[in-house]
Amino acid sequence: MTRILIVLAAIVATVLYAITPPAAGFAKPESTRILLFHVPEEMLCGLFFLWGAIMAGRYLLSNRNVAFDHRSLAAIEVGTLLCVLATLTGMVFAYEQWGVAWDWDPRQTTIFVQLLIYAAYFALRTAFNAQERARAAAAAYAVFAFLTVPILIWVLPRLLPGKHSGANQAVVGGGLDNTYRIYFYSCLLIIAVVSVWCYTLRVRQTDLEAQLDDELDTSDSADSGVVRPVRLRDVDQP
Amino acid sequence: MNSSWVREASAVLRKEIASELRGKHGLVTSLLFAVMTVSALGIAAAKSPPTPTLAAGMLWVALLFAAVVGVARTFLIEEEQGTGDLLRLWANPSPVFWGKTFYNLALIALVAIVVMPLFALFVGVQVVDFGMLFAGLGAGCAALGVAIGFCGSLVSRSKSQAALAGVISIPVLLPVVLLGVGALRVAFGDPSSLGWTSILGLAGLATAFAAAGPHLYAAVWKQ
Amino acid sequence: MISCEGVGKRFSRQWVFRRVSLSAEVGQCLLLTGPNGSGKSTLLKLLAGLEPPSEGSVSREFDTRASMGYSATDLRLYPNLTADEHLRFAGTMRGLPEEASALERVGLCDVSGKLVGTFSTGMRARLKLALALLGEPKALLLDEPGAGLDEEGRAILDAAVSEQKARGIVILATNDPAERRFGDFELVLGA
Repeated sequence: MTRILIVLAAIVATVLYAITPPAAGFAKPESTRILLFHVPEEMLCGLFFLWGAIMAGRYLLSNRNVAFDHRSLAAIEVGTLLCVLATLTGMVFAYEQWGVAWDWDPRQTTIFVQLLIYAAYFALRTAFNAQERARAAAAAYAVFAFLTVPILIWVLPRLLPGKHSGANQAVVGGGLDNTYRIYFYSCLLIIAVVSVWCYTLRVRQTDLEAQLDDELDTSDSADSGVVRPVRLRDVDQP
Repeated sequence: MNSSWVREASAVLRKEIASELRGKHGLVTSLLFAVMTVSALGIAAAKSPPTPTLAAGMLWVALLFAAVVGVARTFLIEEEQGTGDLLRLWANPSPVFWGKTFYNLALIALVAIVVMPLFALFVGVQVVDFGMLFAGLGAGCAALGVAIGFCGSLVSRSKSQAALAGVISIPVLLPVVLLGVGALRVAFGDPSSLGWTSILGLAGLATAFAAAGPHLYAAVWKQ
Repeated sequence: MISCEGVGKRFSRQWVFRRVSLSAEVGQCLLLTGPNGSGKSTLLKLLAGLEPPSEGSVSREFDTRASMGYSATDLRLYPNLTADEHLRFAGTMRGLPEEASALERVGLCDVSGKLVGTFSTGMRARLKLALALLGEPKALLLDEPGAGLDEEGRAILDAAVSEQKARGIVILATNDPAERRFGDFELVLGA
């Protein structure tokens, strides 16, 4: 059932992409259709990183309940995927609108910094021999690194001069006409549903892997009983 | 903050200073690293003074890498020399975090004090607003000191600690560098930037790092 | 009392040991024995609170910082601090009053001002014992305590363990036959 819905969502997104009219006010109005993907991906990746940080915090506060770690990891993985897609679609759009794919525009810079932060998160997760240590360090880093995200999303792009402001204005600041908005929010909804579906799948997968690990462990040592101390005979004698 | 907390944090700070003065590895390495970087920048920019923005960027990159080399070490060395268990046996995490962080802040302040005049001399920049310079360097170095120390503590029990400390702390500190450049380019004579807003951002980040750092450090203390 | 129920420890996917339960009361000495790699030192670290268990739970009826002494062969000291500075640092961090006789007890009075980096293995073992005995702990956890000690050092260790048994708990992780005589109970790992 879910699969059918996802296929339907993909078809609707493709149709929306095809029928969306060119937006006025851009250098190449017909290429603005890519914003239907670029902007929702950018918005959703921030939300997934926030959810990842919240779940990481709960993992640290919950006496190491691995279910929270699985949720944090899945959210950051989906967030990173969206971040990569937003960067790539942004580069295509930048090439069309500004003539260069990469310009160190403030928003390009800050999304790139976010990518580096979460790449470092994955490097950190693989750098420990003990799983518990890796989980705890990664969770602490996910919370700590998220402190920079509000600065990256809201503060820096407003402090530094860049080319995004006009485009941004058009999309989120009311510069789009009502028809375009319907297309935009429909696409946002579809991408959000697909992302959340990916997230739940990944959580189920990691939960099941952990469950399987536990079951294998139990079957390995099913024959061994509890290890207890024994009273030493030689000190028993008075 | 009670008296035993102050006593314990001061004991950690004294231990760091005594170890450093007798070993001199961290301090000398950081200072030399910073001096080498500034010298390399000076040679690269020979006879063509950079724009205020470029100069501010060069200075922050020099400070960032010198700090990664020296500051992360304060936490890494406990596991490197095998004394991490000793600390975990005897201490509470909060005084250890702050004792080491105060030491790191002093270390990075010293690096900045040595680097800044050398940078001005070698690279040829003019400081037009000293207030902005000191405020920018102060807030930025505070954020660097807290964040790199914390990242060092996270990777101290990992497989490749020193390299990983750089890998995880540099991305977190790029916003600090971006804001720091915004402040210092005004100090170096670029009137177009929002200097004090950048400093406010830096101070906010440093405060957020200092507020979250000790709690997160305590959460992973005995892992 | 110090006890654990069904504890296990694993690194990556490899279990070092599983389902260990024990309890030690005041006046008792528990020996942890077993072949190399069976997890004696790891279990002692779990009991000392230095590592969290991967399963099960550990409970102690005292504050580990102030009332527990721990020494192990893989526990390192600060090479750039003196013996005296180690004692002061440990005392401050653990909230214990200063003890003038701590170094005297382990025969290190003459070298109190020397950097620990210049100490021999035996001298370090003695200093670690002095640090573990600070503040008359309620529990003393020692991992291979006789390693590196000379005859005089062993006599000091024997006296310390006997004294500790009279006032608290002793847990020794050891395969040394000479140290078996202290044991009231034995827990064999990897059997």
